[in-house]
Amino acid sequence: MQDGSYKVVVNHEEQYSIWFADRPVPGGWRETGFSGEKQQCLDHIDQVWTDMRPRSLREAMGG
Amino acid sequence: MTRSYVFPASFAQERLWFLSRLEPDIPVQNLNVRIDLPGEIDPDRLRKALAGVVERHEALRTALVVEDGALVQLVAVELPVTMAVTDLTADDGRDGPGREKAFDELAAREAARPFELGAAPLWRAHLARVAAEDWRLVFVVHHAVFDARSGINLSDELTEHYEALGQGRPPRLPELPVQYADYAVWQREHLGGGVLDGQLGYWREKLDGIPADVELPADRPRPARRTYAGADYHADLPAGLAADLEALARGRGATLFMALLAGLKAVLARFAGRDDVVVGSPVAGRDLPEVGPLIGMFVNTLVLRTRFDGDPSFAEALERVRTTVVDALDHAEVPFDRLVEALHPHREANRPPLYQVQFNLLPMGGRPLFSNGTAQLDLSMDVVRTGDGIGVWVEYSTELFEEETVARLVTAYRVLLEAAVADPEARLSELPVMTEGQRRRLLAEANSTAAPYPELPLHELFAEQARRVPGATAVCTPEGAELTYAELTYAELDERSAALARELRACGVTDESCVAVCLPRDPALIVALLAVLRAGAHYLPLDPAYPPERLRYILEDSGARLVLTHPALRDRLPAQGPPQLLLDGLAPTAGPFPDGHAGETEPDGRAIAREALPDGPAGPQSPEPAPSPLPEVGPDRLAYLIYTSGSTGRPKGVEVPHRGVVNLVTDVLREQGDGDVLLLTSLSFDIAALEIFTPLLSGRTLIVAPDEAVKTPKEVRRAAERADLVQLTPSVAEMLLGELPHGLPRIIVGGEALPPDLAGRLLDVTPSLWNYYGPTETTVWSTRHRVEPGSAGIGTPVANTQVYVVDAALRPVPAGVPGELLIGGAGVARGYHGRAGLTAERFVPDPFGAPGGRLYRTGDLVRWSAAGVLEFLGRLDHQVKVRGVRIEPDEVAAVLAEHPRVRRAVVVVRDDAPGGRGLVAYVDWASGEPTPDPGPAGHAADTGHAADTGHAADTGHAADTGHAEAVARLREHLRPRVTDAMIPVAFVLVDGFPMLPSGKLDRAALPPPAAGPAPSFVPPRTPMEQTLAAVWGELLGRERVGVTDDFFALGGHSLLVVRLIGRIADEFGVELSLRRCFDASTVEEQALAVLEASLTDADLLDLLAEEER
Repeated sequence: MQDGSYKVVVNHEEQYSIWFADRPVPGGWRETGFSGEKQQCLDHIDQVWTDMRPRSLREAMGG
Repeated sequence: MTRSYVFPASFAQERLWFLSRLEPDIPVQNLNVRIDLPGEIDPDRLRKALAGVVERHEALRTALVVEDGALVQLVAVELPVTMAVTDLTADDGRDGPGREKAFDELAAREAARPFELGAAPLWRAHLARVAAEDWRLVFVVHHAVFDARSGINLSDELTEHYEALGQGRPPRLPELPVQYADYAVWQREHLGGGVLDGQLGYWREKLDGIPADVELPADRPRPARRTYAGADYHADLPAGLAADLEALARGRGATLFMALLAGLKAVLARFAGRDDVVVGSPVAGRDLPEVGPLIGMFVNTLVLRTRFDGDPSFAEALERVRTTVVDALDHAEVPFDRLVEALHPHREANRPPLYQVQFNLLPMGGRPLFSNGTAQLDLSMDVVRTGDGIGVWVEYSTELFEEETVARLVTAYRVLLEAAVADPEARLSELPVMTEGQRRRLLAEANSTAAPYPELPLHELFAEQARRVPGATAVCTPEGAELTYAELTYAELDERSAALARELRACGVTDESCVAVCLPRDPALIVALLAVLRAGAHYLPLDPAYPPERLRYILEDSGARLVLTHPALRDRLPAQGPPQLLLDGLAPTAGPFPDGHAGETEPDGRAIAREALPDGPAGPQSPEPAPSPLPEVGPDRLAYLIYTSGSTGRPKGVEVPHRGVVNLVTDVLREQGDGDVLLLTSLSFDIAALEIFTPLLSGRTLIVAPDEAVKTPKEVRRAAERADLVQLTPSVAEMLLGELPHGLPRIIVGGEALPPDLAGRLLDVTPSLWNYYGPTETTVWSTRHRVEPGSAGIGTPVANTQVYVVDAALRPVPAGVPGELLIGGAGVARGYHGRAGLTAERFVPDPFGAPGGRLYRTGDLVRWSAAGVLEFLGRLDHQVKVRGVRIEPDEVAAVLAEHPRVRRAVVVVRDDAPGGRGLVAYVDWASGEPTPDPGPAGHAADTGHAADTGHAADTGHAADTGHAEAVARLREHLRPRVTDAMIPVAFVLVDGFPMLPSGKLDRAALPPPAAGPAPSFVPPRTPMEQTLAAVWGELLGRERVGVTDDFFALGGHSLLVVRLIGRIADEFGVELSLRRCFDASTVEEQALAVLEASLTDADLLDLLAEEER
């Protein structure tokens, strides 16, 4: 993505990504409330997304 | 002899004369007018009427000649007027359509003939009777004496003269106080008085840093030499659109022209992926009322440059275009050619200077011009407002475009304008450039790939086969290979892998553990992989050939719990690291494998016995009496972790779940059927998974080629003889081609772009060749293409996979337009191990498909072909711009590879190229006669190479042909085939290419080009060069001219070339053609051209005879 403003989004599997701040979030994703420059968003995700297993798998594994 | 008057030529005439002289045989400057005449026509009276028009207008009696180094108009006082007449109704055999066809042919014949500009008239007329009361006049005229307004004047005057003759009265026509020649004189005086300089200053600033090319995506690369082949395309836009646009424009102080131009620029910006858009547009140039009724060439072309930076709304874009147009009109008197001379952009013989796309809004109700199969520009759009809508005519270069590509562009134009009218505040990036139907085809229909696949992990599916065909051979090695176990049946493989899995669990391997695998390629490797999966873990392939630092990094970064390795490979692994489990038990001396003794026999105690593992059970002292159950594994658990190199930074581990591999293998089996498969690829390259699991999930045999196979082609041949399917990279295919058995049922190639000539040779080997494409991040392969002779591309998505071609804003681009490839579906990996931020950046929300889906951004540049196949164009980050022109290195490599002595060529962008960032070509050059089979022996990373920049002398490359000569030949080969900007700045001759363990080219290991001397002043060396340099200096007003200096770069322009030709004729007695002089634009090249031209046939015969002696 180009430089500019982004927002941190997450899907039903609790997988994180980023999306253009000024555009509606694609279906199945929701905003986490964090937004900023691209690198800020990615750094934030590094902090909060600590288990990259999809949620359904995590639950199936009892984790 | 008719009397003539001599006048100076106008600036426009100079330009058109020059262009015509450059291509004297191509009628690209002809204007082809068709005038439909009312009622029954008396041909003789019409000829007299035409004579009346000719008598009134000097332009129709004008020729253009060079006198004393200047172009002049030679106006004949009188000129006999002839007009051919053909009655197409005379042949009774012709029906209506037949007569129309005959008329079209007649018109095309007239339009196709070029004019000799030195002799008047520069027009010809042909009257045709197509039916009763259907007479048409075909009037073909050179642009140097005619323009669009002239067409209206001609038509009006012809009618008036004809009627006046019929009524026996003088025609009622406006007085002509001035003639075209008067205008030309006035123009020179007017512009000479400071006007030109003042206006030029504006343009210099406005066009500073102008893009060299509009970069409208074309179907074919720009040829090195233009043929001006062209065609016309026509479409009608809806009636309401013109009115809506006009209202929109009016409300913002703009005009319909500006709104239409803004729309076109917006489309060009989207298609070319840039926000700096240049379009040329003609202006009538008839501001003086006296010249209104004249026939002649008054039109000038304005270069309209608008920047759409910041993604403006359409309304804002319109405002910017309005400003562009208004400012341009204030400085509209600078003749286009003067602008070219003043800015002297780098001239390329195959690209129109300053602008390549033209736009015009014609005032008339129709467009009387017809095509003669030529096009001056890439694309020229005429819009005509008609009673019931807008007519769009596009004259386009058929060298570049297919008709359907132009049709798509015009459709995009309509769709975008309609959306802009509906919502002028929408940003340009948000405006659609596709119809709903086109969008649906690209997004949905091309991606409807749903197909069933089992919701099971790989090892469960293998176990199913083991139950089904227990006695069948699962793994074997080729006969003669010195390996312990030549064969394992399904039952044996099942038992051994289950037992080792228990062993692994006992060693502390748990669900989602990572187990590194560093083993030689033999059947034990397959046992190990299945065991890791059955233990609920995933494997991490470690190639022992990796540098120690890389191995250390990967082991640490992955958090591998254990390393499965072989005693012979232990030394390669870092001393510090996870515990090792030695799989030496396969050796017959070590007893039956694997009943719990793996690792125990290791004598030195350095390792690795499983008791060293912290939470493993006690080891051999407590052998499990009964097999413990192995864990349940779902398809979203990981199958493997593979490290890939980024272009920069550390390697990153891609976490790949079972699901994607199962889906891909199921798809390959569905498409291609089952069969025995060769394992040739290193496990560290993810595509090896396809080779391993395709046979094992279908009850067939995996043939394991030994590790050194690639270096021992005979082994490959023996192994491949049994195989039904072989998968390789193009680099490996190139090496092993001679060893692949003829009639091999199927070959999959992938991992790198497939060169067309290699595809052809592979098709000689196999009846079924498949080109696969896919990044590791979407599991092995994501698209496939069945390769047929002459067909290229990476095809269409595999099952349960979606592909999208998008622009930088992640919006889909139309077919034919390059964009980044995004991939979604069953193959999308979990992410990058331990790198959440990087994962979030590369795996983005899917705005097109199922809710909550993720798409992987490949960073690859692709486009949809007209045939609905994806075409791979290169890496986004390999793109380079040379003199502002976007260059694709692979395209240059492909042309180099066409040279018979080039075994293989690779072209890369390097920052350390001579003169900074530029193209460097690496060429495996066959010295002496071309020999097609180099054999694989020479291919290694560390073989010698020699570098050259085209200036350096022979560097001592061990070849019978001098190195410099090879480079000269390569340049010679490229020059007529690619544009100047595509010729590499340096050539490096290599004896083979460095490869990664994966079998791909190792770009990072390509040697740097030797630094060559920067181009500098080279003084003349021969008397002829001295004379030429002196002539140049005189013409260009320079004291010093070097033999490698470029005439145009020093400020030379078209008329100076003409004078140069005259001076060369004076000095050397030979007349160079304009084309030759234009091509040979340095002193040294021109000296050669003069030499060539001065050789007589007798000289040539002498030379040939000498050659034979």
